[in-house]
Amino acid sequence: MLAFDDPQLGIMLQSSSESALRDAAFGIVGLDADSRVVVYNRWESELSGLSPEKVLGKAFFTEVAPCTNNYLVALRYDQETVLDETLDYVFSYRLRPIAVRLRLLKVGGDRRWLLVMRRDG
Amino acid sequence: MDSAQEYERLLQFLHACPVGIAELDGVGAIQMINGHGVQLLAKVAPGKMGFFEMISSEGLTLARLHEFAGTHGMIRDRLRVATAPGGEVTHLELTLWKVDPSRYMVVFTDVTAIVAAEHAQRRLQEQEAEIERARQAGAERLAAQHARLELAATILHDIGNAVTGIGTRVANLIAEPAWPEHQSLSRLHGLLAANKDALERGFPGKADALVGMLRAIEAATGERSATWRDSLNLIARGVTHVGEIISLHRRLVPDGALGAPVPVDLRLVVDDALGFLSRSFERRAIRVDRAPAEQPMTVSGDRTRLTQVAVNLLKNACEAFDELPASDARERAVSIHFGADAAMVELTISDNGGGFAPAAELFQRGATSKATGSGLGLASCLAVAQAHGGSLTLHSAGVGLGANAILRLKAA
Repeated sequence: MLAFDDPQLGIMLQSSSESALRDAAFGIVGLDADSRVVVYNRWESELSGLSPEKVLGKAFFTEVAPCTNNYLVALRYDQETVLDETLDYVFSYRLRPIAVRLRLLKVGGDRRWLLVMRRDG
Repeated sequence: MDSAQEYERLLQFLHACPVGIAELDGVGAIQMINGHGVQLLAKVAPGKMGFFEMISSEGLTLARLHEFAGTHGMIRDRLRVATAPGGEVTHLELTLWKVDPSRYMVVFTDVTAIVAAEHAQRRLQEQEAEIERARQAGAERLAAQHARLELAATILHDIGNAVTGIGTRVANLIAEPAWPEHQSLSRLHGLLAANKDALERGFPGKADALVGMLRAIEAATGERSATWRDSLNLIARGVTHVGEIISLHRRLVPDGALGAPVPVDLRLVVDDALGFLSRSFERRAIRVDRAPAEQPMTVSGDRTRLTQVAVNLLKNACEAFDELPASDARERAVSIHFGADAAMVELTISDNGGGFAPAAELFQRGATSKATGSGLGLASCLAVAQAHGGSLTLHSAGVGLGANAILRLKAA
């Protein structure tokens, strides 16, 4: 069972089954080395209102979630080789601001993970 | 394009707008915000949701929002707000509209770079103003210094002229023959002493006393005459000393610094100079021929300085004879001529005195062909001539062959 705050989450995500990723109780976005979307789970899809089919293969920070294309989120992945950081943020996928907690994960290799939880604004 | 596609395009358009756009409800909570807006607010207030929680400014508060009485319209136009969440200051420019009684729209951009440029520009302007103030203060100090030097030059010149007048008068008095009253008394005393018998007949018993009294008066007058002459010599030495002090100080004031220009007739200037020097010419038995000039020789300039030049040139002509051997029997003469054309006025002073070697560098400061000259005169004269838009040239066929000085000045 995947948990947002699990310290081992980075390693667990690498070996998790597709269904485990899909059904997780928080948003999971997996990106390749160019930040193109390779994993977009159900929870995240419901939050954003975007179906995985629409999103997969797209550049996440510029085409899918331009509100994250800044030094707080996007730039962190480029700056760090290994990254595990949690921060409060605001999403505005459909213009509606949503208070979220983000966990930025990069445990080595090319895969980048963006994990999303709702929080009280 | 179906409506879903249109919706996506519209969303993309709003997210990509290069300004922050947000809709606020009646208590300032963000209802909608575009991508650029989220990025800007993430920079100034990471993770916050309430607009007035993020942006705090005296000019932009919820209370101010509610002060706006109209149903719609602009509340704030391009208000600048500075925030520094992580120590680094970010400047936002916000425009706030009331859209309807329960909705507000705010548009905001990051103007940090513009504000920095404005600050830099302001600092530059302040620095330039500071430099300009310093320059003006320097110019004023220089002008004040120049004015003091001008004043000093004028005072020195006026005192110099007055002292020259006193010197001339004293020299004339010294040159006069011994008191004629004393000579007459001597003769009368001799006459009466030689004819004492006849005097005794006219004034019985009084002749000796009368002759004695006359001798005493003659002696006293002679003594008074000698004292007078000694006093005159003392005064002459004093005047010479004052003159030396003045010429010493004149070296310290700038050459060619002129007073306000006035019309000056060069003929009158020359006549004044001749008046100062008449005794010097007489003592050396120099004949002075001043050619008449019918029309005025008017220049625009500094009369005091021009008189100084004329005195200097005439004095040089006068002293040109001092270098000749005592055996020289030539008839000494200085001649003065005026000439003029439309542009220039010309004064020529010629002498048949000692002359100078053709290559002599007479205008160099300190240079002189005279045994007692200071070498300061001609350099100053040239500076004054040039300051009057003119020139000064000196010619001599050689030592012992006389010289002439030509002063040309711009006609008024």
